[in-house]
Order: sequence, then C-alpha cells, then structure tokens
Amino acid sequence: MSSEVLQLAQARELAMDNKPGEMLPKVLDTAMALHRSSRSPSVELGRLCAKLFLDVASHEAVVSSEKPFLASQHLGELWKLCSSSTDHSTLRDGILGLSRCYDWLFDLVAKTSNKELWETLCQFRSFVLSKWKTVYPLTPSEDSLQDHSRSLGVKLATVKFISTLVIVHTPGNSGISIASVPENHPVITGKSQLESGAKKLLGFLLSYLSEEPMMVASLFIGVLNCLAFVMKRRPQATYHILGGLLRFNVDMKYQQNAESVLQYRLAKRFVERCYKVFVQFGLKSQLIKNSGNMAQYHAKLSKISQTLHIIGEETKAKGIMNFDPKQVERKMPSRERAKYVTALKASNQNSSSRNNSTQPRMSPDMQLLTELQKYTMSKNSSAGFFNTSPIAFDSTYASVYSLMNSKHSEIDVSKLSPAVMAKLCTECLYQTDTNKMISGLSIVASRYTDLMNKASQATDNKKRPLEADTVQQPSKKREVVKQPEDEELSEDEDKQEFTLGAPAPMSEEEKKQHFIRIVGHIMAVKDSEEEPGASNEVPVNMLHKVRLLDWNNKTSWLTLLTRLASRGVSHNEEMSNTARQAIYDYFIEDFGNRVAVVIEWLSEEWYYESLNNEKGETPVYDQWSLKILDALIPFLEVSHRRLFIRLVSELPRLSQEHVDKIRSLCLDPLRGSLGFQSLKFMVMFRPPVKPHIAKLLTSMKEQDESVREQCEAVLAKFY
Amino acid sequence: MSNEPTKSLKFCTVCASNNNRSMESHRVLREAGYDVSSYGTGSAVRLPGLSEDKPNVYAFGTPYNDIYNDLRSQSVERYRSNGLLEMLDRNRKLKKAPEKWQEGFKVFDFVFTCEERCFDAVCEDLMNRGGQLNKIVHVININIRDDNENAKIGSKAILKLADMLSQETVRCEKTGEPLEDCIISLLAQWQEMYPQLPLLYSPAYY
Repeated sequence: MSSEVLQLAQARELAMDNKPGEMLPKVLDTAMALHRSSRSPSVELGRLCAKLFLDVASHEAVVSSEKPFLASQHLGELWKLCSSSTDHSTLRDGILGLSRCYDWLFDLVAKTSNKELWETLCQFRSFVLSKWKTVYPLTPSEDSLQDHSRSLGVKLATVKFISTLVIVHTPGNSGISIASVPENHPVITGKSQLESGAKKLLGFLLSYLSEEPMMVASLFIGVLNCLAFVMKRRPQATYHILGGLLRFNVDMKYQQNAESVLQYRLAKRFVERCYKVFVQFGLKSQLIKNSGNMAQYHAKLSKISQTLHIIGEETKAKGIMNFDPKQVERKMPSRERAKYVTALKASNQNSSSRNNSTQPRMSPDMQLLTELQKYTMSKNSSAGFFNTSPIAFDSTYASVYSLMNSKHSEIDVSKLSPAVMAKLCTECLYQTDTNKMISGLSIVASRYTDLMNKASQATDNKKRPLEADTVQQPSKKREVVKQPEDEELSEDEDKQEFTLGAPAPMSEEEKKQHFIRIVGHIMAVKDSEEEPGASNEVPVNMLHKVRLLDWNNKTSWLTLLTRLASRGVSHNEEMSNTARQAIYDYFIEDFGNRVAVVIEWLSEEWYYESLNNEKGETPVYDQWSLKILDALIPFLEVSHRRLFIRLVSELPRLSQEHVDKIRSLCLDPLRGSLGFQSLKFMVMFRPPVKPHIAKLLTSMKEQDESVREQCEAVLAKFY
Repeated sequence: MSNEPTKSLKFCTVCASNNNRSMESHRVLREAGYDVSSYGTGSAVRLPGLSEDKPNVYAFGTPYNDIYNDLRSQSVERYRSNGLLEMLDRNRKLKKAPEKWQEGFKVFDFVFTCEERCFDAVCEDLMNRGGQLNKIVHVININIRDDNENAKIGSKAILKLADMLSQETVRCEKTGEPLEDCIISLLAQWQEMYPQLPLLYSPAYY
C-alpha cells in the first residue's frame, strides 16, 4: 500500500471517530481526487474510494440533504472506478454505493433535469445488470455450474441494487418513486418502459429462486431479504412475490461437486430458516393477509413456515452432525449437468453475438423459444400446410405429425420447462382456426391408418402358428410403430413372445398390510395441499346426489373411511376394525375438536347396521360407541360441557349401557355437575332415553349418599 | 496465516436480555482485541428472581449498576450463590447498561446471536428496516443454553469463529478472493469442531 493510500485509510479511521459528518466527505473528496489524477490507480486506492463513497452515503452523521449532491459529485468517478476495476470488493462496495444513492440521484434528475447525471446513472445501471449471474470481476472457471457459487459479494450487492431499482421504478407512496416524474419529463423519458422494466427485474429475482439448479444459499437468502424490502416498500408487488416464492423449492437444489455434504446440509438449513423468517415477517407486518385473494397464500405459506420450523427443530434435536451422508447428498447427475451446461453455452453464445449488454442472461427456455419463433416465422409465408402427404416419411412420431416440413423441425421442445410448454400448447390451441386444426389432424390420422395397415400386414407375414391368438391384441399393434431406441433390442429378444405372468394371490397378511396402508393414505388426504377439481354439476333429484360429488380434502376422507369401515369391507371384520380403529385413534388424539368426526362415523355405523338387521340390533355400533365413552369419560373436564352434551344428544342410539357410563361422571365430586347436566339435557330433549336415566338415577341414589339429593331433585322435577 | 485479529471488522453479540450469553461473549471478544458491541432482543431484561414465578424485570437501558444494587437489596446471599451478582459485576465493567437490538443504529460486519429466537428477531428487524443503508451484514446464530457454564463454553466457540472469520478476511484482502464465497465452507469447518452448537446463517442488509 502506498503511503498516500495508507494516510487516507488512517484519515478514514480518524474521521469515523471524530466529526464524521464533516470529515468523511473531505476524506472522500481527497481520495476521489487522488484516484482521478492517478494514471494507474492502485487496487487499494480503488477499494478505499468505493468504501468511502458508501460510508458517506450511509453514515447518519453526514447531513441527509447534502448526500444527494455529494453522491452526484462523485458518481462519475465511481462509475469509472467500477467499470475499470477487476477487484471484487471495490465492485461490491461500488454497487452498494450506487444502490444507496440511486433514489436520491433519480429524484435529483427528476427535479433538475441533469442529463449528464442521468446518462451516467443509466450506463452504470446497465453495466451492473449485465454482470448479474456472471462471475465478473472474477475469471470464469471451466465448471460453469461451480461459477454459480462464485463472486457472491458482487452478486449480493447486485441483488440489492435490483431491488432498489424495483422500488424506485414502481409507483408507490413510500419514499422516492417514479410516480413523481411527469410523463413528459425532458430527461427521464420512457417512464412506462422503466415501470415495465421494474416488473421484469422483480421477475428475474423470483425466477432466480425457482430456476437456479444449484444450492447457492447466500444468494437465495440475499434475494429473500431483498424481496422483503420490495414487499415492505411496494406492497402491491406482494401477490407477485408470494406466487414466485411458492415456486421456490429448496429440496430441488443440487449440491456443488466441490462442496462437502455437511456444507450442503447446512446451506439447506440456512435457506429454510430464512424462508421461515421471510414468511413470519410478512405475516407479522400484515403484508401477507388472511383475506381476499391472498388468503390462499396465507394458508400455504403459514403451513410451509410451520413445517420448516419443525424440520429445523428436528435437525437440532437429532444433532446437526447426526446424518447419513448418502441420504443427504444431492449432486447433479452427469447427464443433466451436461444438458444444462450445453444449454447455458448456447445461451451465452447467442447473447454475446447479439452484444446485448443491457439485459440479464437469457434462460435456456428463452433461447429455445427464440429459435422456435425464428423457425415458425420462416414457415409463416405458406397459407396452408407444407406437407399434406397422407403417408408418413417413416414410422416416427415426428414424421406422423410433421405438417410444415418433410420430416421434422430439428427443434426439441421437450427441453422446454413444463410450465412454458403448457402455456405454448394452450395458446396455440386457443389461437388456431378450428377448420385448419381439423384438416391437420385428418392428415395425421390418415398417416396413422396407413402405418397401422402396413404394420398389420407385416405382422401377418411374420406370424408364427403359436402366436396366432395374441397378435391381434392392441399392445402388439402398438409395438409396431416403434421408436428408434426399440430397434436396438437384440434379434432374439425381439422375436420372443413375452407375457407377464399372472400375479400371485395375496396372502392374508399381505392383504392386511395393504389395507393398513390404504387407510393411512385416506387419513393423509386431509393434510393434502392438492386442490380438488371443481364440479358444478347439480343433480336434478337430490336423492340421486353422489355423496362425494364435491370433493373436499378436509372432510371427504372421513366419508370414505366411514363407508369403508361400515360397508366397504364388511365381509372381513378384521379389516373393518382396522379402519374403525384408525378413526377412533384420530378422535382420541384431539377429542376436543373432533367430536363431529365421531358422530358422523357412528351414525354411519348405526345406519348400515339398522338397514341390514330387521330386529334393529346394532352390535358393532354398540361396541364402538361404548368404547368411545369409556375412553372419553375419564378425561372429561367441566369445560367440555358443550362437547359432551353434543355427543350424547347426537349419537343415533343410546341404550341403558350407554347411559350407565355417565355414572362415574356423576359420582365424581369435581365433575358431577357435568354428568347431571348431560342427564337433564337428555331427559328434556331425548325422550326415548328417559327410562334409562330414571334407572340410573334410582340406582345412584341408593349407591351414594352424596348424590342422593341431586338425583331426587331430577326425579321429582321430570318424572 | 496471520493470527492477528483485524480491528477493521465490527462484531456484535446478541442474546435475549443482554446480560449473560451476549455479555460473556462481548467480554471474551473484547479481551481478544476485537471491536465488539452487544444487544438483547427481548421486550425487557429478565433475570431470575427469588421465586421462579417472580422474575426481576427491568427496562433496557437500566444501568447494570442499578440492577446490581437492586438485587443486592433483595438478597445478597441468594444472588451471589446463583452467580447473578458476579455476572452483573462483570457487565458493569464492560458497559453501562443493557441495550435493545431494535433500538441500536450501529452497523456491524458480523452479528453473532446466541439463540434461534434472537436470530429470527435480528433478521426480521433488518427486513423491517428496509435495507436502506445498503450494507451487507452476516448474521450467524450459535445456539447457547442460557446458563453460566454454557455461556462460557459458547463464548469460546464464538471467539474461535471470530478468529477464523478475521483470518479469512485478511487472507481474502490479500488474495482478492471474495470473502462471501468462503463463509459457508468456513462455517461448516467450525460446525465440525462444535457439533453441539448448531449454526444458522443469513447474509442480510442494513
């Protein structure tokens, strides 16, 4: 370090401690002047200048009203410094400095129409955005995927700058925004372009979370933090942000080849925690609301946040080092890696050939779509179909479906992501003329027919006597239109007739195991996030209404399970009892909130048994309803009054045995009131059980002196 | 590699009440020559009382000396035996009063929190501040149980991490390698040394 730079560094330290408001701008002036006058300024001087710019811009002691002017005064030199320096920390601090003062300078340009300042700002902005997702200022390595985890300081600064741009270029009430710039501003032209650019930039941040294949924990967390800033300052973007966040799947990110499994495990833990913190921030600050359209996001994100918390706690409890590396490891398969790298290279070449330095790198999807668009435009001149031949060139799908060329387009749309593919298909179908679609499909159909005819002739010729019975099966026909890969099969394999053997019948034990799994799956439906398909059909006759026409994850599982227990497997008592036990266990787990479940289930049991038994006996219902009462009554508190009264009033049938179960409750000095209240309720509103209650009261009166008075009071009043 | 700590890094330690864990780490880092501050993220300073259901609650900003005298007036014997007086005596020699994180405006390079709740509070607070200063801060949580012995063990672990980060900063400055590229691998190295103290990390912004 030269003596001048050393002195400046010392001056900075001194200024930080003594009158920073006055001293720091002076040290910045001197440092910038020295940088300007040096022919080949040292790396240290560059670092110091960038650091000082950021210090002055963010130090609370420097007068706020002076900061925009200080920033505009030194922006040109900072831009030169960043565009010429290849030092990482200089560029990082330079970008952070620019991000710090971007809104002030934007406001200054809006008010003073300083064209020169605006041009510098635009150049600087374009330069920073063009380096997003590259390793600049570092040199790219041979492993382009490894590069995703390099130059993270600059990337963190760039991500922050992008969020600043989104905030400033989106109209809003908080802080400086584009809303204050008039449409016909002499310098800031293209206001609407800046606004749409802000949306795109937000899209880049969100798509980074979902599209980045590698686990780049620091940057994912950086992006999440920046999204929180955007959400806070521009709440109108919340909906867009939350949609993007739900597409972010931490589990899908791959481990870098060079990093250890522990490092990957930690990185995943860090990102999951930050995801949780982000959601909590949104919930607490009322940005993620539990109302209107946002309610769905509220529910989903709250649940994800809760799950992530549990995962974190489990990891902690189990021990952070207590894991099986083979299970945690997630390296990208070499084939996928090669595919990704090729797509990346093609995309890079394309973008460099267009010399488009203002936009971030094209995604592989965009690259392919551009090629597809070019190809389609080249075919656009022909009004009808180019290839109307009713005979396919060969027996591949490409030949059968080619309508605009002799064979196929050489464009592999299967490389497109499913979302883009779906959009492309739906748009095409929506835009296509119906008649044209029909004529295209007719050509395809005739090619199919032709190939099928040829295939059946060929098979007939080759047919051996033993195969006579099987050749007509559709599966055999399907094999005729073979994919090229199938041709690689050896000759012997190709000729052998292969049929799957009949599956061995399941043993009783296997059936039981399968049944337990089925019950488990039905129980799991209630926790499923999958949304049911909407059904608007309303049956004309309500008696024909299908019970599960409108599927609801939260309730339909119970209908399924109760029907399964009562009717579905009624031939096998053991299986029925397995399903019953599952519902019973579910109720006991949280009886306070699940009384409706048990009522629905037992009503179903009673109904099915009553239908099948002329005498009206219901042994299964009795067995399980008594079991429920046995399990429930010891745990009842006085506070469960409503719950218990609801249960005894809604159970479809109560025998003397049921009513006698309430005895223990009535005799309990602490919970006796609950027992008597439920008995009184039933006496008043459930006349069929009145005689049973009278018997119970009489027997209790004789058995226990302490309840004699209460029993007599009820008997005297209601009998 | 130089073992000299770099004075240029600014550290901060955070726990719930800014009394035990953050203050023990504050002491250890300061004695090692680092520029360090400390804070608490709780709503108030809570210290054990004479009975379990009656903790001593003070507002942040109440001088350690006042708290010390208050506890002495309650029971010298009791608070000496549970180590509170000794702790407060140490604290009053380090700084005047416990400080609340959410009210502090200093800027740090590394923030060490001592409990996951505090880590979440720091990260959420930084999100709430809006990132206006555009300065990167690395928030690291080291889970330390809130008792005398664990505070001592935890502070040594924090010192080790501070040393490692400090040495890495010096190395990166020399080689030009970005410090941010090395942090997670460095944390993994540290985690292997201290498997009982699970880590959390977030690069955040002021």
